[in-house]
Amino acid sequence: MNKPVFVIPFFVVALVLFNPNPTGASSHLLWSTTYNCTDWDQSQGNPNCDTLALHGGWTCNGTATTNEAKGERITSAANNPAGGGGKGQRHWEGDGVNDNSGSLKVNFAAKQSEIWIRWYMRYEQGFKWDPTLVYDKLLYIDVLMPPVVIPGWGGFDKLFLNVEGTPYWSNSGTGWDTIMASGGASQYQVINGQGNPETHYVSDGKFHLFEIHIKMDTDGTDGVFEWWIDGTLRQTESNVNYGSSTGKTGWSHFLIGSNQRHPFNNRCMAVDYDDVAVSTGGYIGPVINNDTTPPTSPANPGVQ
Amino acid sequence: MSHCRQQFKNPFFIVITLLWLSACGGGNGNGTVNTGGSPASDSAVLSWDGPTTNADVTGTKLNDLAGYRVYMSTMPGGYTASDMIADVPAANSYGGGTESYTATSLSPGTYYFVVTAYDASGNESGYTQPEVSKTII
Repeated sequence: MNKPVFVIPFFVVALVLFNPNPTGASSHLLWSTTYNCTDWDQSQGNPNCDTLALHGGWTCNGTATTNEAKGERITSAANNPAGGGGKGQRHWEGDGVNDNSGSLKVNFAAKQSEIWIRWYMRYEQGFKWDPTLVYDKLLYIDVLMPPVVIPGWGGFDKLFLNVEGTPYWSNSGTGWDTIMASGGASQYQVINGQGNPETHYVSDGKFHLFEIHIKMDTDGTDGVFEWWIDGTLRQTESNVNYGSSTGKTGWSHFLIGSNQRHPFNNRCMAVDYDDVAVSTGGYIGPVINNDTTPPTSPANPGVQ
Repeated sequence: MSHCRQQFKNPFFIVITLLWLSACGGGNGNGTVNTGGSPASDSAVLSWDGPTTNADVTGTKLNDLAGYRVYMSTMPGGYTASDMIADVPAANSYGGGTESYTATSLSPGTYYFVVTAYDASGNESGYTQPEVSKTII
């Protein structure tokens, strides 16, 4: 008896071997960017880059230098070397309260009731908060339109999810200090509100991987929020009330880069975003990089 | 080096201690990123120029350089992973510029060195050529 022969169509083989979209594990991407676009700064209006739009005209006015005064930008200096493309989004954060550059806005063609957002983010090495890290809004989902959802650092020790003004806090040991310590950052001291010294971490200057999952509630009690940083689940909520009845139809847009309180660095410092992706079909995960080409060898070796 | 921080009340020992402290500056383990100055007699200061392109046919511009690996052996050629003595982070992801590393606390003998570059995906270049060596007396 002859054994059956199975023929695998060529296009199936090709699909398995060739992944044209090195953005992550999910194939349900609603939108993504590697910022592989023309250099841009916010003085030029909207960028010509993957449908991104300028939102807000702020700059780091308090301590801006000439370059920083141009505000938000797309530049190779903000590129995540482990990601795609060759550029990233540079956001500026200055001292004090809400002294920052503008944002870039991602608009969805239709409202979405469940999304995953993945992004890489790096604070310039040595970035400090003083006297404390009150908040830093990393994304701003549906600005000024309910239901507003804001994931951010909430103090040195925790993450927070702010929904229409209601905070949901992560457990201790999940926030800024933990993430920067994992990158080998150095420590510094601040004097807290009670006049006592506290030890915290400056930025490690490295890109970290962030991903959130938001799912609209049906009755004010069953909304979902999950937050992974560097592949580890840091916060999970299953009883979020995402707000008004009008909001329950879904989210229409989000901002990359927002406001904060209180950096203390005597100048604006860079906060870089890159490899941002939105999925409607599940967890995205890290950039899958198919690069197999090594650099050329270092040259002119010498020894003394 | 904790012995560099000893305190003495006798003035004679204070002078000796100051001289000793001046000799202790910069003491550090088995290897450092070189910050200049003459190398110690038991050290080897390596230098190299960072690559700026990928090893593909068209020599595309490098934009994901992650670092350098320094290999050391007492025999020329034939380096293995166990010969790697240092992982030096790249100054930037585009390469270029001169990088350096100092191997310290070397016993007398001849040491051979090569360096590779690697990118963010873990792809590693070939060894620097020519192989360089230093004899510690």
